[in-house]
Amino acid sequence: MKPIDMNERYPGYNVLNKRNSPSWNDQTREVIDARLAIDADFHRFCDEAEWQTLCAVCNQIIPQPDHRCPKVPIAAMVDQKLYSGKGDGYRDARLPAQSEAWRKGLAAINAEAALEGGKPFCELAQEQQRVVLLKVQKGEVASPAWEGLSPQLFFAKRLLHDVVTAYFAHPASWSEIGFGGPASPRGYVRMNFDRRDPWEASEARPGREEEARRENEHVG
Amino acid sequence: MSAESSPRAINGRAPDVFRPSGWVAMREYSEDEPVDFAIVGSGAGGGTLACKLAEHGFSVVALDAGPYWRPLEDFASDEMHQSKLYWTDERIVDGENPLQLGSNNSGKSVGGSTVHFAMVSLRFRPEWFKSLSVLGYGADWPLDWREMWHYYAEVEQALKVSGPVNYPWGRNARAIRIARTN
Repeated sequence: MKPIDMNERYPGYNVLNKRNSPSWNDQTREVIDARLAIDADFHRFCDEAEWQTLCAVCNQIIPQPDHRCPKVPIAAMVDQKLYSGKGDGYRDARLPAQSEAWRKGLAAINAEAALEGGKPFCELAQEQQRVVLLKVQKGEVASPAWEGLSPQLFFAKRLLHDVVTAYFAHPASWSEIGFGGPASPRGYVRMNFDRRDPWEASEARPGREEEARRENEHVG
Repeated sequence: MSAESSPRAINGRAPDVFRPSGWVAMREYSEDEPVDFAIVGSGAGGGTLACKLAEHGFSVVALDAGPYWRPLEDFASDEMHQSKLYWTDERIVDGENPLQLGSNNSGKSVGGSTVHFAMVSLRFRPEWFKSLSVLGYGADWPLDWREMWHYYAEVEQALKVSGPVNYPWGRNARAIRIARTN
């Protein structure tokens, strides 16, 4: 399946163009620069097998366009969260603590992959990876490695939660969906319906793609 | 000096949240000095109560677990960064259909969850005070909604809760009109 390149909807929009505009202050630059500096290969929570599986899972859940640079380092951000031990503030009683759920879940995805294609998850063909994740999502698993961990709950409440949260915390995804990024210190001024502030992305509605591109070049 | 590494509200002064590097005077009591009230938690309930008691001449100390932030200096407008305001010790959600909570259920800061509550706090609708007898679920409250209305107004002022000038339910209810101008 071809990933949808949302930049077609916000042509020419790059949230990082605002870095040196009045939209950002020193605090914003410090925080976002640190996020942009996350090394996509760095991991401290996962061992090598877990890391390979996690990277392949992230690619499958949120495929990113080949030409995007930089890509969101989703796996490294998930690893960082797990290493920090910082939780969400709540836990579904049916799931183990997040670090245990992830270790068990990644091992079980690998075990399921071995039954499906005789290889670790990361070495399966894209379509086979998709089949394995669909089985996990629906709870139609065969491996005993899921003992004590509900595949559906792990998929919906742990895996998707952490992968999607990491992805949408990165400026590359903000540019993709036309999100303005940090709203302070600039703040919203034009509060009426269908009006955008000059620091917000312009959406390319059919027939006005070039207009949107011109506006997005001046977003700041 | 980082808010997280050492206490800021000491030596009779506390950060002025409205001025970078500014301070405001703070009454302080030594550890062996008796006080009238010690309040655990300085959020919407505890902080407001501490203020009211102090204004009436009582000696009050308020305790909180988190930092005393300087919003103008310590905050970037970024959701992941601001998760540092959340109190994320584990709470278990259970039952037949466990709720999915958010991470921002409470705050670990001086000010509690008011550091990130977005100034939203809705009043009960009149019928919810008689939930069991009028709506057939939950329980009836032992007081009438009219009794609560001026308390709501008072606490909304104290917490600077935002919202419509005329409340859309209860006394003098008026439907909210959203103006559209082109």
